[in-house]
Amino acid sequence: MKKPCIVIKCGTNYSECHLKEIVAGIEEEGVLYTTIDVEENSDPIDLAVKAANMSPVEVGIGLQNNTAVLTVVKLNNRPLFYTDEKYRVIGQNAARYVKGRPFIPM
Amino acid sequence: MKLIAGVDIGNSTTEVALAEIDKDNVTRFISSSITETTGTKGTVQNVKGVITGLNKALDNVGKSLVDIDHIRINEAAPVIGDTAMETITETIITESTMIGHNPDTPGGEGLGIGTTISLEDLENNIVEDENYIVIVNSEIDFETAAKLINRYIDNITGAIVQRDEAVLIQNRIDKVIPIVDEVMYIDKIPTGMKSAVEVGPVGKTIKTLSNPYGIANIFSLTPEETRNIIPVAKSLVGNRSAVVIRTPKGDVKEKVIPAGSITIYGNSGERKVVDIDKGAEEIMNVVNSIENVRNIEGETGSNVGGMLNNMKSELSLTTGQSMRDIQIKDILAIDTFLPVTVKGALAGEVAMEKAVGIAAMVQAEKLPMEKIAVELENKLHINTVVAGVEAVMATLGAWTTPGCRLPLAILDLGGGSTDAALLDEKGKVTSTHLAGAGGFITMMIDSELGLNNISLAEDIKRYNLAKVESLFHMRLENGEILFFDEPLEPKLFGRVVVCRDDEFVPIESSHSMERIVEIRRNVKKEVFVNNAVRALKKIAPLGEIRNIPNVVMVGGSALDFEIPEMVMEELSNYNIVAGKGEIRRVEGPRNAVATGLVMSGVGVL
Repeated sequence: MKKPCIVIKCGTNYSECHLKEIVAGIEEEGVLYTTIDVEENSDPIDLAVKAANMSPVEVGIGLQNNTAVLTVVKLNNRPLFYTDEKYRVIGQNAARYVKGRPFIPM
Repeated sequence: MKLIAGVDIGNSTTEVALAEIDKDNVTRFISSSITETTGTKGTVQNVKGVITGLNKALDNVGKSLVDIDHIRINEAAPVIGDTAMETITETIITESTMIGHNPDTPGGEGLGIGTTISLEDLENNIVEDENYIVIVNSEIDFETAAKLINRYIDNITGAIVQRDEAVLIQNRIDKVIPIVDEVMYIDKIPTGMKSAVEVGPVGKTIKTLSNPYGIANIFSLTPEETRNIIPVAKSLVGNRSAVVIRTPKGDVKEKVIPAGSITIYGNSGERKVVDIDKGAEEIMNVVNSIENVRNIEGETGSNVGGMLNNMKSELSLTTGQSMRDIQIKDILAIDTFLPVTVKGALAGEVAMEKAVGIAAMVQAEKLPMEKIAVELENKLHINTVVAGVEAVMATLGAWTTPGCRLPLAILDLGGGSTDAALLDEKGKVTSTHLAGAGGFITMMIDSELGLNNISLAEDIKRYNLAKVESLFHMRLENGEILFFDEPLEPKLFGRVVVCRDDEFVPIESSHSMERIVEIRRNVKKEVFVNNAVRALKKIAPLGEIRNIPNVVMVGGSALDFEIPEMVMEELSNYNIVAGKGEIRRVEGPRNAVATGLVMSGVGVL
């Protein structure tokens, strides 16, 4: 059985410390996640959409070129949030979506 | 055929009824309208609103101002209602004794007891066999903090963290300890003091620190000290996490604020004084014990005293009467609890303080309605008269409701006051005006939820609530689910929202939907159910409510989706037929006074 985790897809060019912040945000909210490195140079929205489609809870984050994008399958490829500075908060908001709790303003 | 207009200028709305009267005095109502009142009721600023209202009604039937033969405006009841809130307890923390703090995501669980020490100082000052509660400020990130805690894990029994990282730290240390995070003013926490940190299991609340004897046990308190710790324990009830620190001089006090007193003067020379901090029940007992209130005064310096004076001066400006001739005729008090930020708190803690909400009603001799009539006549060149007392007109209009008989009582549930009138078989009308109405409900909702946003409180009063459960659906307060094709705005996600006709407004408080509904319904009951009974007692034959066979509810608050039902339920206990008005079978609870004005003009022309 697949665990109910948020999927994070990281492109060819991203910074480890940004990823660390994103997963810390998810972890603090007590939600599961998994990260996948891909050899793709696509933009973070594409990565997020693919990630969401892989996620059992239908929540995905794409990280590429210092930009993190959060989307959910139900939004049909549209990003829910994106950021190039508040990585911790976008992680928390991904988790809050799963929990059905109000978002932290970005 | 004559065209006649009845115009009712109210506190918040101006209503118009238009009717044709033929030579045999057969009246046919052809149109009506409702607009906002311009300016304070009873001033010439009202003329603008009256003309707008007339035009609106005329447009409906393709007529214009020149077609009107006669305008009748109400002899408006010269009353103004206002409200104030008086907080009567205050919780003050000296020397940071308590953090009654409830972060979203505390870490670990259990109860930890030890001496407070900052994490950096631990290395140099650690004493073997001593237990510590470590303080982690925002300069230390969670990984470093976890490493340091693990090094001394045998001596550490709990942690207080500034950043939102309790779970992150817990996940990286070798033992489960209670961790409280998001403590804003962490530098104010005294070190070297005995303290206790408690985090409840997921889905449960704390057990020890919310119990006075639990705290007494930890800190070995005397019976006297245990008594003093009660406000701490009380404010922690229902939390999932808490910290209590004992400092030598530290103290938490629940202080009673001197809120002043109210003096009530009766018509037969009675004079009674009641302290506001005695609470609403005592205040209302005293008010109701005096049959005919002549005047009510509030102590200068208190909020209520200030409010009563402001109301008097406002009415004195409107009517041109001196302040001495204007009298407070009634007050309505309601007990409540307000969320107030605790003085000296370290993480923005909030204590529920006792308070009394007070609505008051001031009455003058007469409002200068004649001036409005003159101004209208000058502007429109239409014959205009001030025709009849508002209460009489309202009962006359309400009488067009099918299924009612004399003696007929009306309850006018307005915005500023609750008015009642009784029309008996002989055509005699008795009327009364009481403090407390729609505006009071709005204020009570605003303060009880700690919103500080009157227009949001007004929305909460008027519309149903829903909980947004996903970006595409919400659960309404009656349990139904509403789905959407397009995603809802992210700011609504997970929130309780007000379902206005045009938009959804999020309520940014931590109250559950059920709690907000409960507060809304309680306040409505406290105000209008109470007032309905009080008012009917005053006008009922021999002061006995059961002598009134039927009651018709009119006015703006009679349009509310639940207030008329609440009043109906209460009055059914007295065997009274009560319900929302159906003025002229088409207007609902609106337009009673305007209709009455037209009816009173039949045969006059």
